[in-house]
Amino acid sequence: MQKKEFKYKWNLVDKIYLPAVLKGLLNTFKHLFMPSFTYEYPDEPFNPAPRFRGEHRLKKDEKGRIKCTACFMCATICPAKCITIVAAPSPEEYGSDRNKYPAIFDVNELRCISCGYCEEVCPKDAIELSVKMPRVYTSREEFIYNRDKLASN
Amino acid sequence: MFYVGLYRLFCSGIVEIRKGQRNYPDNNYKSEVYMSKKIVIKLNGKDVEVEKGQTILQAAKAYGVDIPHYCYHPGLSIAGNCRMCLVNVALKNPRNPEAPAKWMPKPFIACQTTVSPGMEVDTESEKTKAIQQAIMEFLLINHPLDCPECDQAGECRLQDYSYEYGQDRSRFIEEKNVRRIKNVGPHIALWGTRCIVCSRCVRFLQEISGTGELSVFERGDRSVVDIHPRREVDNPLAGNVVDLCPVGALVSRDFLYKARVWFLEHTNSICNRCSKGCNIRVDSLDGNIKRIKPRMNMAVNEYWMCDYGRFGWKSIYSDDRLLSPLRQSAPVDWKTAYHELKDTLTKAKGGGIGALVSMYATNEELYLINQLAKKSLGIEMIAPLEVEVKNDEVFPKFTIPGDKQPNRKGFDLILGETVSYDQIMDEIESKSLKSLIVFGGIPDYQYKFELVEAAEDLKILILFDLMKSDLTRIAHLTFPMLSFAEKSGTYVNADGRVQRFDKAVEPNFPAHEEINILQKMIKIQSGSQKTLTPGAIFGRLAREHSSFKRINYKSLGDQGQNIVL
Repeated sequence: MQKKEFKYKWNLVDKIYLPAVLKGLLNTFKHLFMPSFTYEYPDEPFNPAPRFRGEHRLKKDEKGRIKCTACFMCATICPAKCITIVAAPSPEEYGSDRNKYPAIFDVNELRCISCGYCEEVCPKDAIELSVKMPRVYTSREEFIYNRDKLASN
Repeated sequence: MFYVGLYRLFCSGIVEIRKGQRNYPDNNYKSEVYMSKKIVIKLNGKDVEVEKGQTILQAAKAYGVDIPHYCYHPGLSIAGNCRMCLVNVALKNPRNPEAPAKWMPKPFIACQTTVSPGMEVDTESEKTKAIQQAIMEFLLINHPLDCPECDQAGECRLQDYSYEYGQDRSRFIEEKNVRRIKNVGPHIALWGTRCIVCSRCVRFLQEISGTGELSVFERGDRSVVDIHPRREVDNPLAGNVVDLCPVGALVSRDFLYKARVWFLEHTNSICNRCSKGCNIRVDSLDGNIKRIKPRMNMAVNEYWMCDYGRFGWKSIYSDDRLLSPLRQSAPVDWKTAYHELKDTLTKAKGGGIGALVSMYATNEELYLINQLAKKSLGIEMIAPLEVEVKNDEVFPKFTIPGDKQPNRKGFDLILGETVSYDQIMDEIESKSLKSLIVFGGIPDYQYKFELVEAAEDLKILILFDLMKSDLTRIAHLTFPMLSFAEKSGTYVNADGRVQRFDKAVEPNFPAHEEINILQKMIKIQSGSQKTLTPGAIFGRLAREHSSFKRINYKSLGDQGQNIVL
């Protein structure tokens, strides 16, 4: 069965064009008197919503230790494969209740697609996406954040 | 219980009990008495035909029904203490076989209960599920929730079964038993808190290695696996207890925190540390070997392997590895090396060439050496470069051979009769041998001083080796070899079983396979020849040697094939 083609029939007002143009301009003028949504970014601070997904941060516990135990869950789930972890036995100042910690924890912010899976999957609530906007650097290497930079982010 | 015991006695017969095999059902396949008899049981409502003498667990597995278990291992005796394999069973009354099977009031353990005619087994009903869930809850009472930092996570039975059969939360609010982490041996660490006391490790050390270092101490919920004071688990089979542990209680100190297991790539391989030829699995991450695990092969190593092979791969990453061809002990690139090889071989031809070939060479390499000797280059005498044979290390159910060379049988079959090492030495001294090709590749080997001394007088010395040694200093041309993990080939073990190993990792230097170098040598001598793959070379080998008849590279599979004698 063939579908019947819908054909719009133009009337006289449509053919003149002018009423439609004026209608659009009216909408434009209306916006002149409404409050503005844009802001001038570098001069004015960026205050995103709390759920905004910006740069990564490694959380610390009450004793100042990095919460991360290098379980590789975030590295496994990451669709962009931007997290590199090397696990090691934790240093002595971490105490006996923590056996494993990340010796290396690198996040490539350029590869990151800010999906937030790492935050969601973390069993220790150790990584989160902060509200900070990704910063600007002049080389690609600087976008690879190491453990200490992520911890102080 | 009395009724069941009486029934078992009735069914299985006094003869079988006298054989003392009831506790070792896996050995039953050897006995023809059991093989011939088939009985019918009802598994989850379906009639299935099983072998008499099998346990419920084995019978169910043969029909694709997996019954969860921790303490049962086919290579060990049956302990029946984890209770994870509990199933509901209905039995026939032996005095009245006509009557329908009666459901037993309590569940049976599937790992130890042997099948009997007319038996009904239920592994799927709500009643059985409730039992499995309750057992999981018991096992998890003292188990810590430290999967994020546990090395076993990803291949942990407790994790898998907890997901499949367990609850999603714990009702246990009391304090858990916590034990400290302890190094129980040079390669093993014990996380006592994680232990579920399945006693697999204890049984292994009692039955297979016969050393019995680990025991279960204390009772009830405080029972824990531990070592006796100052008696470390340091026997050469100790590494197997780590593989056996279904949870992360016994972990390898060597592999600790090295990698998460789900990232590892597995490659089937053969251990080249002795003539037994244990089937192994090489686990690698990003092209680096992380660990080696045994692979089941009932004809060779069953489920186990020794620690010499398990940690033997470390020499691959040694600083002494040869990383490029050497000309007069100076590194050169491959193009120059091949150019030099052409010159050297032309110079050497016809002037008395000898070869020392190690028994670490694969069958394919040996075949090419034989070609080179007999057809193209005309090597006059080939002698084995042998490693001293030590005494066998015998354990109750495992033997580590003293002959550490993986391919002695293949060497004898392919090269046929060879001259002895001393004969070659004599010939070199009497100056009738002017050129020597040494095909080494023996890990952790020191060349004898007399060979090094005699080699200095040689006109030409071409060396193939893994590591830098005294001989590399003298050799006119040295080619770096590849380790067993970096190439593929076949070995014939001491029992005459041809087994294939595959390339697990790429070498981390620009390397050429030995078979390619050898083929290049043949090509230089006898004009054009196609460069063949290991499989094609093995095909030619099988055509020419009657022992390898009806074997090809693919049909070897992952279990190998016996040679025709």
